[in-house]
Amino acid sequence: MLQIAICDDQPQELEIIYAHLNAYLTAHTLEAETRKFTHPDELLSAIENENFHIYLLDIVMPMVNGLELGCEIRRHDREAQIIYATTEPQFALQAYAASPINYLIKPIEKQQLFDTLTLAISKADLTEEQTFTVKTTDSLRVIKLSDIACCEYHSHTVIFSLKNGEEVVSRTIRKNFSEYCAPILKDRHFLQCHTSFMVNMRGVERFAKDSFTLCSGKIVPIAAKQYPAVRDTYMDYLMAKGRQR
Amino acid sequence: MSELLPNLLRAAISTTANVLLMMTLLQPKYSKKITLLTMLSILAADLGTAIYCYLSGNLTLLSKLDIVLFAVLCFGVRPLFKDTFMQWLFSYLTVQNISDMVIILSFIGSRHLPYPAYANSLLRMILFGAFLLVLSCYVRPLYRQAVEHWAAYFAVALGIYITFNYYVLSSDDIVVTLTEQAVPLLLVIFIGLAAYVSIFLSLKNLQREFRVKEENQKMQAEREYLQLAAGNMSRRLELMGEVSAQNSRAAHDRRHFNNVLLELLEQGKTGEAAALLQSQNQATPKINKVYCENPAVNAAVCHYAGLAEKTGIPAEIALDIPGTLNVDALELSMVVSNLMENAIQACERLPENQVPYLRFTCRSVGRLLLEMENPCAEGTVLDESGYPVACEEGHGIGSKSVIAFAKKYDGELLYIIENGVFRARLLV
Repeated sequence: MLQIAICDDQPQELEIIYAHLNAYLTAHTLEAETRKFTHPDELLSAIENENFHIYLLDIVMPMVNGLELGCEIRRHDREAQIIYATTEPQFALQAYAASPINYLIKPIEKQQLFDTLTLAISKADLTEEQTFTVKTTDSLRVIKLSDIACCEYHSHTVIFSLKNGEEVVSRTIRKNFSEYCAPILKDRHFLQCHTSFMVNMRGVERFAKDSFTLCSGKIVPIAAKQYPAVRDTYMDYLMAKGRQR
Repeated sequence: MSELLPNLLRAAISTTANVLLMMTLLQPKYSKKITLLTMLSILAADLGTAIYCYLSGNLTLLSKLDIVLFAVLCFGVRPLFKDTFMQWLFSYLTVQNISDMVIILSFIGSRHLPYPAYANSLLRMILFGAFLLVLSCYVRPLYRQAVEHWAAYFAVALGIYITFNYYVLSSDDIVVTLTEQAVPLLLVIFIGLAAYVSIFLSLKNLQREFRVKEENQKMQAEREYLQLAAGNMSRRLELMGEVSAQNSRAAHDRRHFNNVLLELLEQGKTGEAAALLQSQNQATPKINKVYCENPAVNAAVCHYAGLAEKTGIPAEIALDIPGTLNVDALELSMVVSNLMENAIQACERLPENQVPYLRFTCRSVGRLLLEMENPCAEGTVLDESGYPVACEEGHGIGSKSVIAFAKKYDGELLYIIENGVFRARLLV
């Protein structure tokens, strides 16, 4: 289901955008979960644990402005669709770091918002959320692929590091790591960059010749021999996203 | 036994020296240990034969046998060295020539010294030592070059070898031959030495010339880069000029507007003045397109995006380039200019049935990852190092400066041609 976040410190502005959004969703018979935030901090703590497909952000807000907020969202999720709505057109000049899909000037024109939403939804990755079942020592755990930050093979078990910082350790596996991870690797976000490491490229913050650094600060090594292949796959992933957007 | 001692000493010296010469001139393939062991076994075999001949007292047989035996042994250990067969043969001939020269010189020299039997060994040791020293300290790099071009010098080595061996193999008593033919042998030695010295001297000269040529080429390339940088600079100045012209136009318009407003107010037409102000407010401020945070890169992108638009090439540009970079922003803007210019030129060269476009994407993930994508005409190829081949004279300097940039910042530059689409990727 489509997940949308709206953030504006002015309650009446927030309600206007919310009303427009609902009108759009009804008109297009779309199901969506919309969350309203009146303070950027609330949104920031929310994205620690969940991803939204589309973000509608105001720019002039207390403490953290919309531009910084956009960059922070980008850091957590390179695929988020960001739409800015503000009274200040000159900020459009600086908004490019967050690569927003559009920049709307308040008061918002309904049709312009609708067109932008249509574009954002067409670009959002709405494929049914894939899951992977992990047999742990005492239970079965179903994990959403988008929640996995990286996996590590360690003395015959696989350690799943999740986005929220949790670690899930599998039971001892008999297959080799690559075979075990094959179903996950079918997802275009995942890449095996080392004999015993797999990474979710969506959460990569830094890419060096010898490692990926995730937004949690965790470092995933890249095998020197595999570097050219890893580099090409990662570039393809990044550039394909650019094309989508 | 006392007769055998000087002979043994001599044999030990010349065989050891031969083996050492072989090791100096050839390039071992395996570890030092293996090479040394093999060489020791050659030494043992050679010495064994020598002792046998000395015991039987036949020096002539020894000299002939030695040639054959050493040749066979050397051939046997050839797989232990990296050199090709002809290179190996050239070195073998050289070793034999040196060894023959030393043996003859020491023999002739010792006849004029007291205790010729021991003087011979001493002279041999000194001469071999001198050759080894000169070879390993001064001539080895030059010698390796001579070996690389063995074909040019092979005949010289072979000729000297044949001459020496003619004397040895045709003689009935080697001692008599060496005594009687002393003068021609000394002359052959002189010719031989002269030939080798001229080989090395000519190589040295060639090397120097080659270095000068290379330096010239480097200077030429540097000059091209400088020209390019100067060209880019002047283009930037033009851009800045354009911006300031725009600014003064805007200032002029504003003054004009203020004057009109002033006049309306002076005439007491406040209603009109208010209407004028309102109309001015409603006119949405025109915002120049900004592609990225970095001003230098943005200026370059704006310029070329404008060019692309003018030539009717749709451009899809998505850049995430931070304001502060760990590479020089101006240099990066030159790289971006070059990439965009090349892409536009490639689009202009497209045959009519192909749709031109350019897609410029940049992501910042600790490093900058740039990708420029454009369709390319059939027949566009990359050279053996994976760089695009310039198809016209004067083109390709831009690509070269991109390569230089990537090298300077230890970046990675990849060119890919796939299904008529050209992609340049740069990671810095």
